Amino acid sequence: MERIYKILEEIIPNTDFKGATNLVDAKILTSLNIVRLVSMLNEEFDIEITPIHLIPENFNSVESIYNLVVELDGE
Amino acid sequence: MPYFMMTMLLIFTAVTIAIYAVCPRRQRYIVLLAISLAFLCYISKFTVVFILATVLTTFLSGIIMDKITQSVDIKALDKEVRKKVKAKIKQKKQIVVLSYIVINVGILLILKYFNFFALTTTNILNKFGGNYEPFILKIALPLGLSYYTLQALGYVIDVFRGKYKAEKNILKVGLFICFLPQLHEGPFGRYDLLMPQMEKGDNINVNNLYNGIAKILWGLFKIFMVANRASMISDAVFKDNGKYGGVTILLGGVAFTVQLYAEFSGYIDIARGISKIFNIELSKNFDLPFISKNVGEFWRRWHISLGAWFRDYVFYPVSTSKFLRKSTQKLSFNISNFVTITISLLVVWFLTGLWHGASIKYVCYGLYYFILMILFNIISPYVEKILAKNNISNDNKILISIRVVKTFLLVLIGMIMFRAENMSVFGNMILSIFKNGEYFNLLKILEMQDILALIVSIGILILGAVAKIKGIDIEDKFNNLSSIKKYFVCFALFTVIVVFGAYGLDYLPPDPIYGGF
Amino acid sequence: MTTKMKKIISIFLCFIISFGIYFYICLIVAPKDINDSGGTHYYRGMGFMAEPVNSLDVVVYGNSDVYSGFAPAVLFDKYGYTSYASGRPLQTLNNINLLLDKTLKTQKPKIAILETDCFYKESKFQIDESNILLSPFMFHSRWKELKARDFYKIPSRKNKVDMNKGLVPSNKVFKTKYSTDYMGSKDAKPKPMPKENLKYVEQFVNTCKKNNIEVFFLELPSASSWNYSKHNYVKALAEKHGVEFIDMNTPLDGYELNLKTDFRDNGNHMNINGASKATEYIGKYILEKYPNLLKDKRNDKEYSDWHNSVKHYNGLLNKV
Repeated sequence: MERIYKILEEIIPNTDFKGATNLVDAKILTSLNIVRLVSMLNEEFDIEITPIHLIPENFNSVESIYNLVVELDGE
Repeated sequence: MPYFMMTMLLIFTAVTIAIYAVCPRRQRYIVLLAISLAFLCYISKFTVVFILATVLTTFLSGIIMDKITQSVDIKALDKEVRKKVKAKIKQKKQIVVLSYIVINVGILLILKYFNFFALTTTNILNKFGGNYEPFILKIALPLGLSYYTLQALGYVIDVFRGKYKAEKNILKVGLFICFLPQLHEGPFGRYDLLMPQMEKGDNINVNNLYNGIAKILWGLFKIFMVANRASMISDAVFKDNGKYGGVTILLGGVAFTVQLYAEFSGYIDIARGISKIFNIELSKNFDLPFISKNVGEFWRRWHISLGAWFRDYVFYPVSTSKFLRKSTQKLSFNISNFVTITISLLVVWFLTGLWHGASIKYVCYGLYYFILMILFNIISPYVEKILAKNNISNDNKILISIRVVKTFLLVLIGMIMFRAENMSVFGNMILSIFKNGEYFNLLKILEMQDILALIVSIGILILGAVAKIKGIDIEDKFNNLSSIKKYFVCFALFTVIVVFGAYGLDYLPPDPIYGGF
Repeated sequence: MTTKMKKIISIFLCFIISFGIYFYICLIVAPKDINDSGGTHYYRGMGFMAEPVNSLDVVVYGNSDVYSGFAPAVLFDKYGYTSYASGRPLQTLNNINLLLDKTLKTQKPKIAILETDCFYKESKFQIDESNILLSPFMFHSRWKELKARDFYKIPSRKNKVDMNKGLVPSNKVFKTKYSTDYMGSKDAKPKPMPKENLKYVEQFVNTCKKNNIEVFFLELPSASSWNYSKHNYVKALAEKHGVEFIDMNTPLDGYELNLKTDFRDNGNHMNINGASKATEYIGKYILEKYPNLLKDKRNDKEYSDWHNSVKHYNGLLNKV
């Protein structure tokens, strides 16, 4: 979880991610940011996030991103 | 949409409402399909076979892919084998998707782009001393070709990705692809959002009926009060583009921007209104595009469903593709990321441009936005730094206004390119902004009363936008009125359009800019 | 029960009120005068409706060629026949049929002349423009010129007698660029007209026969729009229906077109010069073909108003 915060902080500085539940819907995470985030997550956790996972529900909060990473890591 | 087609659309809608209402719930989706097909046959004549071919291939691809997935019980296998089997399944499904794309994008390419390619190649050949007559196809495009092809493709890709199971009822696939209101100019719908609403067959109730009718009227208001008048100004400027300069060019560009927005969003409102009557919510296509602070945001607020389609089915797959990952592996992270995003954006904007029309101009239009996006990506970190140094917050009102104006000007240039006949006309027009041209007499094009009507109606649109920014939901307010009040609101709108609308012999017929795509 | 009743009554009231408002708007925007925009459509094309009952001998139907090139005043002045030029811009055949039906409601013409220039105009929707409920659509640019009187005056065709009897007189002279051979080769291949229009021609002829009205086809001089391939087709069609076809673009005994003085534009519409000549010829034709059918009304007191029309027309003629 901490690692995810760090990555997010690097992509979009000065944003409060902790309580946020609508990162995508509020357009804080744009598609460009998501692509950066995904490639960083792939690198960091050695997982493969594919387009099917790129839906707003998976990226709206840090928690959901965390869940996604955990889920993919298990495979 | 020509008057004729618009009238027919509204008449077909009225007929649908009547049949839909008396039909049993579970068969109602068939009513919607039947009417859509009837309308298609009526308008597109024999070219309706192309849409039927798309329906059939879409349906079959979905079913075949599901069969492939179900052919093996993956969970029964152990981990090592599982991976191999999975890869094999994926491969098989890829073949299905690829052949689907070949067929359907093939139809699109041949019908829409063949002449463009034929002309370009013969031009090139002739430049090298050849003497060829270009081979031109003379087929009318089936209604909504560019829209339904992409929408169906989205469905097939989703099934391929396993987002949802394939539809086993060909009639429902047909309805998803041919649904009348969104056929002509979108918005692009997603199967998993639309189908549950479509198959439910909800009763028509008073609230939805008024809501739908109000939306339709609002759309007509935009088209007849704003777009058709603004178009007379922009047509005049762009027709004699060599004559004018300076402010006139800008006026023409702004008029075209207003026209395109009012017209396109008006048609979308009509489509959403018709669907709303049957309690089907179509996706949003516009969200106050002219308050965008950068071009990227503009495209998230303008033609939203197109942007979303290209994001989900082009941008994400390309940017996360193995090929790109491998080829950028050796670069440092930041550079590889930049390369990935640049290449993906290039693909997206090239295709977006081409989607708008088969000509070099539209490709340039796409690439224009590609360049703006890349520039923004490069510059914005520095701008942020400078702002942070000077303690200027991003919420600073002056900063926001500057950004909104900047975005509007950039969009305006894009719009002039979009409307200009070709790239050299566009170039000349941009240059002549800085020159003095002939005197442009607006009163020769529009009578004083028309100009007044245009200004007042644009004012009403702006008022609506301001209300929305302030958080006042006008739609909600309308829904909470009593039926009698709703009735009179609709009646008033109707009367205003009938009396003051710009239609008929004295005005140009509405010619939808986004309809031919 | 009472709430249901209340509901029904309020729905009913809503309808009545909105219909009332709409009807009032229709009345406001309907043209009140022949000079209002749309007035030409509303009063001129249907201007025969304002004529006294059963007072017209001849009605000519067609498009702009008719209201430019047929002068009822001349026909009265020379032969004493009363007539009306029912022309509308871009007129279509199905709308002509509608006008014919309207004519028969108040008039019993002895002769109906169908101008053939509109035969090649594709018929679109048939819309009854006299329907007051459609007036906001039909006269949609009227809101720009509303005057106080529009809000209380009721549009009426009575007492709107057109001094020109349908003619839109023009004393402009345009030297056309056409030479006398504009009709092309005599054996040109007949050019078929839109299929649907065949039906409407038949309908027109049949209606006339049923009402004992003599019919003939007429093509007024039009250098820019007429030629032998159209002529040959219409000629065959006229023979099929057993009616005469006078094409004033072909050489005729006692009529000669002057391409330098008879038109107000480049060979499409005639001015009053051309109209006088053409109408005189048509009168002569009627007199020879139907010698006892029509009465000379020049000395009939009931028709004394027509002399005013003649005076008015001659006044215009002197200004050429």
